Amino acid sequence: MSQHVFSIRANLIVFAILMALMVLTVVVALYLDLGLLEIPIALTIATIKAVVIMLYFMHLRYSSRLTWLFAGSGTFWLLILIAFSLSDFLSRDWISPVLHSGESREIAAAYFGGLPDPDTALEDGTHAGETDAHHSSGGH
Amino acid sequence: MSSASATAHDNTYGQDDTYLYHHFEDLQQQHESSSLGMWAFLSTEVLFFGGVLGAFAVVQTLYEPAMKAASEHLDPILGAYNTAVLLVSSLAMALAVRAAQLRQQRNTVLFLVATIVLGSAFLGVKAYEWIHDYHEALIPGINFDLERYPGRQILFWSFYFTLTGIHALHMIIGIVIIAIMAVLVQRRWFTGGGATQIEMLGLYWHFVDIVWVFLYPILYLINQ
Repeated sequence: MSQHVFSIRANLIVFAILMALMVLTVVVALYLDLGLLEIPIALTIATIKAVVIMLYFMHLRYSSRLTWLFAGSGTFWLLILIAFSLSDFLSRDWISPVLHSGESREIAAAYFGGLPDPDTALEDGTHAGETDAHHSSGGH
Repeated sequence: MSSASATAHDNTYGQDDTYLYHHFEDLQQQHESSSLGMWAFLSTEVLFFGGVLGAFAVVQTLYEPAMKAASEHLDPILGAYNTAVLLVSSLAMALAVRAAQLRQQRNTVLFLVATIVLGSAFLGVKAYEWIHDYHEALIPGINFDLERYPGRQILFWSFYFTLTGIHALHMIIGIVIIAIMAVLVQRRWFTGGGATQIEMLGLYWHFVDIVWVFLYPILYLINQ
């Protein structure tokens, strides 16, 4: 047959790479404090894993370019969906007085009569309603 | 090709890549059309999960403190264990596809069964986590405790159960289809080894794996 058959060795190597990336993403997230970089790093590692799976486990590497087009189209539209949604939500602050945080929230609250933010307690870092929940969670 | 012997075979749906159906030019084109069809389906699946993922991206960005507080109740080590189980099941599926391509029917069945076992192990851990969440009063719509988890934390849990729920549904569907295919291969129902059919099933299973590869970091890791 003309279909490409991957050797067992190749399959095992791909699997080892995926496991290594999985361990890496856990270590980076749990034991390193990288602040704002955490999300981009986690998503980059996930994307690398997805590409490795698609290229080798899903045989994309030896598929036709037309198959590549089909495989890429879903991801492409997903990126449009996320990019355009976020560009809307993230840029609303730029022109509107209604901001999510800080001084301008008070200005907006004064102007509109004030809507309480349900997450105020959480943003202080005190986790007001959290303490008792933690005690009862049994270390899980 | 082998059309003379194949026409004698009355199993119209169980033919695989040694039999050329009359509406294809050659076996290569026939195989590629199977691949394309599966990838087209997987693209729609990307968008199916993508809608929820897009909404999650927006909520995660706008209400990060609530998301952080909520995801503290998830155990990233259990999630990592589940990721590993799913990756091993993907390896088993890749080996099943390889065995099917090489017409090793016994190995095909063995690796398919291994995939089913590993997929079930994943679902078992998932069920354990859900039961734990239930005891912690974390399930929106059933017993979510707004006093204990104030603010917008309930948003995170809505996304958590929607995403892991539709993922688990895909796993269950996958396991059922794998079981059916394993029985068919075992009974020599396919004229060849069912190479094309097992390969397309493999594409689906690997896709479900890829979905989890993204769900794990966004639900368990980025807010730790």
